[in-house]
Amino acid sequence: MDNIVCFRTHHLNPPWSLQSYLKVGGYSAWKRILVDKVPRQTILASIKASALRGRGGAGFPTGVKWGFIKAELPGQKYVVCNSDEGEPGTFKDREILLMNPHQVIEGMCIAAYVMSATVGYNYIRGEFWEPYQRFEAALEEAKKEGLLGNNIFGSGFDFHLHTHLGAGAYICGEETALIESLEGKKGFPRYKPPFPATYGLYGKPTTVNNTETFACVPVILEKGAEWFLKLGVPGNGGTKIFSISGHVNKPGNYEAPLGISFQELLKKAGGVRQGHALKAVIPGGSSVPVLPAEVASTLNMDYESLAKAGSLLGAGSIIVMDETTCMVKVLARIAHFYTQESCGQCTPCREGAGWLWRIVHRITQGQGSLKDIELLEDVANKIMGRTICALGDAAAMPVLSFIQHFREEFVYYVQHGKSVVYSQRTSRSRKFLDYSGEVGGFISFG
Amino acid sequence: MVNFEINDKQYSAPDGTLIIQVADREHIAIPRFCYHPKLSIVASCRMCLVEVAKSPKPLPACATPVAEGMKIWTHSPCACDAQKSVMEFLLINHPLDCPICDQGGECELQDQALEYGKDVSRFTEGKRSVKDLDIGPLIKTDMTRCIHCTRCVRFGTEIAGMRELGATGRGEHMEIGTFLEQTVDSEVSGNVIDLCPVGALTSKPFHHKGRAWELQQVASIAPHDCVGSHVYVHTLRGEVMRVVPRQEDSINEVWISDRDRFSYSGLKSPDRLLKPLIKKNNEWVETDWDLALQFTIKSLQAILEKEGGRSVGALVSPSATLEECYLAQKWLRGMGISSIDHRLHRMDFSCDSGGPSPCPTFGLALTELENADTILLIGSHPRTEQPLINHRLAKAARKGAQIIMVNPIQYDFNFKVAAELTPSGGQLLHPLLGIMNALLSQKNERPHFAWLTPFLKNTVSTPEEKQVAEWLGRGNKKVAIFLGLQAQAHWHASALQLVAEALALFCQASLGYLTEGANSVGAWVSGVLPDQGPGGISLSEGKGLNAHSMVKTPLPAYVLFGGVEPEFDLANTVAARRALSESAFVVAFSPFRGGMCEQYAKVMLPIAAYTETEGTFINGEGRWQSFNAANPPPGEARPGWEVLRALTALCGGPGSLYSRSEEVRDELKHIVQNVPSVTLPSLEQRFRRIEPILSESKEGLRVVTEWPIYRVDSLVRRSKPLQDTAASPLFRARLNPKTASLYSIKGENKMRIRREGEFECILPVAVDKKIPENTVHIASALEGGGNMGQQGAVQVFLESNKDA
Amino acid sequence: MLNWLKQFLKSIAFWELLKGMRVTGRHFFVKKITIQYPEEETPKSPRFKGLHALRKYPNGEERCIACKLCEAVCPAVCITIDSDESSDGTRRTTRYDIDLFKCIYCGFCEEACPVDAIVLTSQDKYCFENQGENIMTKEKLLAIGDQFEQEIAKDREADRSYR
Repeated sequence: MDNIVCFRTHHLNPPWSLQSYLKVGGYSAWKRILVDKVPRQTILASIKASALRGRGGAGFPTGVKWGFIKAELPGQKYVVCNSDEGEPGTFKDREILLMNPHQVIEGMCIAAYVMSATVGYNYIRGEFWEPYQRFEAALEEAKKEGLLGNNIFGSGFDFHLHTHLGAGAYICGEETALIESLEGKKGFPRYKPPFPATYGLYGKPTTVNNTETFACVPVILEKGAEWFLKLGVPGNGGTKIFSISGHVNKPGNYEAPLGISFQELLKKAGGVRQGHALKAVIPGGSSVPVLPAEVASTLNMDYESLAKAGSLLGAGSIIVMDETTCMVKVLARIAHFYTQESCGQCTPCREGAGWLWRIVHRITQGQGSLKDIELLEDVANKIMGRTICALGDAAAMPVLSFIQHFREEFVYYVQHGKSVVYSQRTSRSRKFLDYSGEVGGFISFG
Repeated sequence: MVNFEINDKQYSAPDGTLIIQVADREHIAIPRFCYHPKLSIVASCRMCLVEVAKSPKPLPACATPVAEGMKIWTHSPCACDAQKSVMEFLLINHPLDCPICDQGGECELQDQALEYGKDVSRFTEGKRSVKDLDIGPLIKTDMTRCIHCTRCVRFGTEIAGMRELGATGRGEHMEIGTFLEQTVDSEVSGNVIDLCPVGALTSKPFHHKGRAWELQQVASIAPHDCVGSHVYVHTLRGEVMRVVPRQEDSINEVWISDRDRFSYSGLKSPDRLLKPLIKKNNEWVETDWDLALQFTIKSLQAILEKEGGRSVGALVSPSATLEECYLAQKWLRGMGISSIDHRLHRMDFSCDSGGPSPCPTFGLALTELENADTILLIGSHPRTEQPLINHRLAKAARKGAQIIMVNPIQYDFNFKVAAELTPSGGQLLHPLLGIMNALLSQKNERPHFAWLTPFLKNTVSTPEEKQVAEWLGRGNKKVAIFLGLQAQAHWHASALQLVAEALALFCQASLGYLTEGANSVGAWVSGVLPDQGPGGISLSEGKGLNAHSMVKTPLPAYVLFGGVEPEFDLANTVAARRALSESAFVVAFSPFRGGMCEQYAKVMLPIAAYTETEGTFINGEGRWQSFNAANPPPGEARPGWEVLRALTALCGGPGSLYSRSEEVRDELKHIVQNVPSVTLPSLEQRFRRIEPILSESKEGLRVVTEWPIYRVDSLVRRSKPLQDTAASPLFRARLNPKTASLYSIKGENKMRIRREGEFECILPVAVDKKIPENTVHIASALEGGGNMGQQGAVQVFLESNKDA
Repeated sequence: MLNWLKQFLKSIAFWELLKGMRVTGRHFFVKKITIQYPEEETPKSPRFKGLHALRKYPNGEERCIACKLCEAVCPAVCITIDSDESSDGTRRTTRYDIDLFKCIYCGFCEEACPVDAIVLTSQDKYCFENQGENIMTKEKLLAIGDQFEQEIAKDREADRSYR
């Protein structure tokens, strides 16, 4: 069941070349579509039937999203791939771009065909120099092969795909900020509505999808929506790449069907470090609410189950923490991240994220008071839902969930000026816990 | 139209209206910072969050359009909590030094903090501080106070057309600033002072000078260009402290130019004339009004008796009020003086003999201008000449208008120009003839223009001109043609005017004039012209000399009214200086002394400057706009119309005594309403007069001069902040590199410019690609520029550096 | 008959007179409150509103920042302030006049002052001999502030907990 969608070239050498991709059946869907002139509605219908949901974090049904763009309307339209993967804990797109770039290209081609867009952009995170080069090389290969360009396979369909390298801003992973950044402006999210489907890149209808979403598309069309749907659980079609990091024996990317149980996934990653117990799990990247071990252990990894448990699947980035982890310091680290990455456009996030971090930081410095915990919750609640984009929520949600699930730890820290795990720590874990300052590799954030 | 509820009350509004617009219309208070009705919407301050039924989150009123059946609450617990929390966030990093902040008392943050803020801060950490910027002599910055509403940034991009301010950095490190360390040079930059909701951007000349609550506000009209912007003059204890815009959507919207905003500094110049002065044995002696007026009249009468009516020339400022203009010509004509003129920049008057000159209006309303499809500007740089016309042009360009420029040099425009024709040697006439020619060949079905063909027999249209002709000649389009200041000051001004008239007739376009001063139309209406009386009635007898002829051959006496400084304001400053210093008697009615006036004048009479007198300006649209005095004139200075009233009375002239300035205006209005219509001689007949010009040689080097934005009148020239801006040019002869190399001149050289028998001057050279070939571009009205003659053909020589 | 006798006894003994003298008699022996001004003075509250003064910080920097709040709040319109930027870039007054003929000693200026610059001292003995002396200029006010700083500081300290 593993490595059948996004990582299906993993067994070949090298997995990223055009030959390897063709060997696993790559570009067959693209060729068929162009040669047989498959109607757009048919493709759209199978995407909808496959229950493919956006892999970037929000989990919006891809077929519905594509359907917002009226292909028959005249005018330029754009397809944009969001490879600005910056969420702490997430590192799946990097691997897709590195190992299987052609599948992303094919997915984008098909999306462009469905929406009759002739230009596409892949916005790659600024720090992803290697994936960028790999993707560029793949583009060259595809162009040489006549898979991109004007009048592809004599079908009369043109599609030009360009790569854009970001400049290192987390916020550019937000689709409207990404569009602004692509336009050459500062990466400020736009107020929605209008959504990119009506007013996107250069004011034209635009679809922005995650790298993994695009990578799923060719397989759906090759093997059928039914096949894809059956991989996962109802409403959650296909497999998902789970980026597992933290206190596990084998951190890394694991392609697994949606709806897989957390325990099984943990087993794939080699389980929690020897001799340690699971304490908490952040199931979808740093911006989603944390779940304590007892909740996480019984979880199934799909959109609905996680929502029911009070968290989000997000980008499937699982951060595993064992009992040696000080939750206050984790929160300080996460809060600092959002302080630095807030774009500064709207007030609650610009001012509030920094405030949150300062309060948590003060607590970690042993200068907190019990009032600060209430203040934290209050400030976080005042950011939630009041910002232009979701970054405000992303900054507030960890704070609220950490306090909700681990309030005693915060209280202990405030009262004793040190972490509860320090008093429990064993000599064996001492080295690991030597955590200095608010920056540093306490947990592997991908 | 959609129906919806705000605070449980029914309202309706057109589809797409934003909640905040409806709230403003209905006077429902919604706090806001980033929203401004004239700027784009970013919804970033989040202060205007309101509760909307069925929305899980509060929505920003500034970005949410109303919808059918929508239910909105602006003061519900949910909305109030959102607004209060945003206010708390804004205040955590905002300094609480309101007592020393210039914005204190008119600060939007302060006002709204009163309602939405807490009395105690929960933020115990250190506040953010940001380094201040020096962005020029007009705007004072205190960036720590910035709340990042980005109004100033959006203003730069959307209104000023220059992206001078921007946000750098991310999150709480975001700062507003110039990207590089530089000044903000837009001609409308001062508007960011009004836009800034807090004290981050404040007026530098007004810095720490006063408080909003203690200022007296008087509505007035801006005195430096023909737009007639509405302003408020703010005074404190009889002194003008600042000038701010007054909203008038049909004229200046909510903006004013920096020139109108900061020129008031000139009112406090040490040069102010405070008492009537008479020169005795080359010494200025203070005197009283009676004596000064008696002396003026006696001196003038003595010269008139001896030398006749044409021996006195009167130059009236085109920024003098309507009342002053009317009374001045009434007094002067009563004395028997017929040489009266206000067209100071002009040097070609060959049109004047061909019938009455047209009233120099825009030809269309400003609001129509932004809806025009094609706009042809001849010899115009509206950005410096009428900055708010430039704003309307930019709006038109954004709506897709084709804007065509025919200019002596290339300018930087802040909007898209469809075509820019810059003929060599500043010969503006030729591209116009080329366009005319292309239009004629394009549309042969217009037989009543056939007479034009012989005039154009030597004209060959360039492809560019043909393209312009195509844009102009499209039917069913709204076309506007304007003659700018440089066309009016051009040596072919009359010919340009005629060709423009023909073009306008041909394209069924409106023809407008972008004139000098604030009241050129008013001066025309009140008859401050040598051959036309009040209401534009042609005088059959007693025609006088025009402004150019008055100084070309020196006259025995001159009257200068309204702060005219001939050494700066006239087309031919060399002739002006000579004429004035050789004359036996010069009387200057001016708010200022100083400069050359003290050398040539015999009497200086202090009159009020623009905020100190009531009066009327007629703007380019032909709108009569009266205003009141904001503060009393200093010393013994008196409003100009009162001085003229006294003079008329002393002369025993026909004028009755007016008790109020409105009576003067109403008298003139009565005359204007009863003016019989006149028919001009046919265009063909008038074209005959310019025939010799058409066959003139195009070759040869020519000097083109231009009045820089902050050198246009005596008040602006005395405003220190404006003079300190980067827009104040150096005295340089600017040349095209090709032309320069033709005369072996380099950038560091000095150049001798000479016109045989007229003038000669030496000045440094600047090589500039924007100058067309065979053109020497020189800024006029600069200090040290007094020995520059009028525009036109010159000879140039390389000056060896040793002499310099 | 009995009443008559009672009346007679009372009148013969000057009873009413004695009754009337009782208060006088009592006060004859009570401690006197009369103060021998100017040799003696009544004690003053630290809130006493007397002559105005402008204070300085201990380092000699004048406190007033020309915010003009006192001018705005003054119900008698007796304060006139002109402000400008000083040589060190701070906001300062170039003129600070109080017309003592107009002042009603309400103390609002002191209440409004955000930096405790303008204060009403407990000085109550002052007079003017010439026209124009009623205008307290900035120099005069600062001089008063210098002269009575210790006393002013003491009064503010005494009243601090009530402000």
